[in-house]
Amino acid sequence: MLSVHLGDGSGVSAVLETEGLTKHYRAKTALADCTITVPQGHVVGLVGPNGSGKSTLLNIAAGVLSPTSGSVRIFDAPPASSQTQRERVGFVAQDTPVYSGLSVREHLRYGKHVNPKWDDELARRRIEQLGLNLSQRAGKLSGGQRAQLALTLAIAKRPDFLLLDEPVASLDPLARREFLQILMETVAEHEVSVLLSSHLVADIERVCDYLVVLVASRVQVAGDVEDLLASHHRLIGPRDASVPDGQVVIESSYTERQSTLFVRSDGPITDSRWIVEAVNLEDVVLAYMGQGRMGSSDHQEFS
Amino acid sequence: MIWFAWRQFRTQALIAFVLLLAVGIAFLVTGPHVLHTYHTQIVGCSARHDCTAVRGSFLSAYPFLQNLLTESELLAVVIGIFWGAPVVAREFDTGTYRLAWTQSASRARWLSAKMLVGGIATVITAGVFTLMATWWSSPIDRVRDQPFSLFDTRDIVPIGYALFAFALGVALGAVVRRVIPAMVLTIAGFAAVRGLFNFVIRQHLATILHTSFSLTSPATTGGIRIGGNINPGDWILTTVTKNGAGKVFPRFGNGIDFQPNGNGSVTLQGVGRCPNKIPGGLGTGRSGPPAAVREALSKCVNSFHLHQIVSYQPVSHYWGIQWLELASYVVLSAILAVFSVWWIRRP
Repeated sequence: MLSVHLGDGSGVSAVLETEGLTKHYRAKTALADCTITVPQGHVVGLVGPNGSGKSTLLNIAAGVLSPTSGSVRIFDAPPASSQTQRERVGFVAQDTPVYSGLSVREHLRYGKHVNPKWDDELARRRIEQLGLNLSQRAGKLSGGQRAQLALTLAIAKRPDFLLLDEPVASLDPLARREFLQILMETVAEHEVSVLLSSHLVADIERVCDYLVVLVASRVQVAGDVEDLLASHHRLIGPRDASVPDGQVVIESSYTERQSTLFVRSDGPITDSRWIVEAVNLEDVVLAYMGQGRMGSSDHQEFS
Repeated sequence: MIWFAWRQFRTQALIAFVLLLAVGIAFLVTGPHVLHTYHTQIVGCSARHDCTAVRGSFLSAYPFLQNLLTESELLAVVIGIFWGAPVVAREFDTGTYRLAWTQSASRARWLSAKMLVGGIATVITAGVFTLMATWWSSPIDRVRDQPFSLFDTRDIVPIGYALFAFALGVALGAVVRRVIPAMVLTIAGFAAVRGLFNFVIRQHLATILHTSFSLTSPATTGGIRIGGNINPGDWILTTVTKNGAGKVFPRFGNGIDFQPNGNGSVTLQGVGRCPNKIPGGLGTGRSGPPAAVREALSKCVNSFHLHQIVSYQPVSHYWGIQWLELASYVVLSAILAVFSVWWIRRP
């Protein structure tokens, strides 16, 4: 059984912690017994296939949904439980909802009215940079512009923790790149922790320094992106060669004469029969997603 | 927050204003004429002995506006479904609740502001409308002299209905989270509560008075004279007819109806067979029964020693009931508002 400890207990505090978080709707279970810890000070990418519970998890964390059971804590308090708590968390919901009848200017005014820490100068500067017309109705904005407006509202609120639920899913590649770029600038400028969900690894790769793979409500793997890349390898070797010591096989495929293993390396690989290849983030994500899909969170240990 | 609530509500408020203006103009244009007709034709018409025709045509003046006023409960329904139901449900339909609920201000404040703005607009709209309606129709109502028959569409209760419909729409929208079902449920819920008030509760909002009087039949007419303290404008709730021994005749109406059985035997409908023979049957024709028959019929009626017990709300209770019914609906609205806030802020 692989146990994943995020925040590694070395003084890095958690910005989001859930335990046994479950959300049932009448007929279906959207999130089942999800236990996850998101460390502070990172841009965390939450990846998983559709239906893995990402959106439900984020909506619960944002305080929009209430869980059926289990506990969820943000900055060590229940979501949206107090004014301070609400001030500290920003949320860009899926499909980036804004009020279509209100102009961009009215959205900023709204943000100012309902957020004591509102940074009006920041908001106006961003809108100007984006080239949005203040008098434009939000309903007339393009998908990318609407997402930018929603992000502006979330950022100008000056949260300590920003939750983004598939913010770029419906955007074209150009708008997507622009959105993520602005997100990164903001993060760098304001030192805000971010949890960003996506089913596109490329987006996560571009902006995140920490990865959580969620499949069917279960955390398959979680960790610093660099560490993950350094600790995972693809091993190619003869069919009859045994798995080297200290290698945990995540995924394997075989031909008649050759084995290809995707492994987590807990130690150096000394067996010269194996060719060691570096992996990229997408390989890691896909390997763990595949493992999760098989319905097993246990790793087969070869020794 | 109030600014935002108002901004969201602005268009609906404008539509209401335009409609009120249109109705207001119609009332202002025709109102003075109604009043003038009343003063010139109705007041003092008894001197000219042509009251019935004049009153009849006056009562049916401006049928379109009068019908509009009879249907003015629609105003409350319209407010309930177009102002109340979307308050929360629309935000679910468009997904914007996720934006609204993740700002620093709480959901409770968010909903309170929206309900406050909508509630005030509702009171103003319904208030102005009922003020105009009551003013415009007051001369006609004075002639009709049946205040309880138009209870729901006059004076102050329409404000309570509108406020209640609004609050009900908000609450149902918060619970079902979709605009169209919330609208449908609002109509059903509103009709149910209104029906309950109209047919069950309203009559108990003031002490019910009872009056008892004997039914006698003067020999000259053969009919029945209704006595007691009932005034034309009183609201008669129940009428119970008993005989001298206390036996109740539930099938005896207010009218009197004789049924010939042949051989001079006649039955007083709903009461029983006359003890005396009616000579020559009941007679027909425009002149009615001959004097001897009338006398015999009168004797029959009087032989039963009938009396009626009438339960009623007198005209003098009208305003007490208006205020109490308004207060009831305001309290119901407040309960619904508290419920809505509690419902959406549940953890």
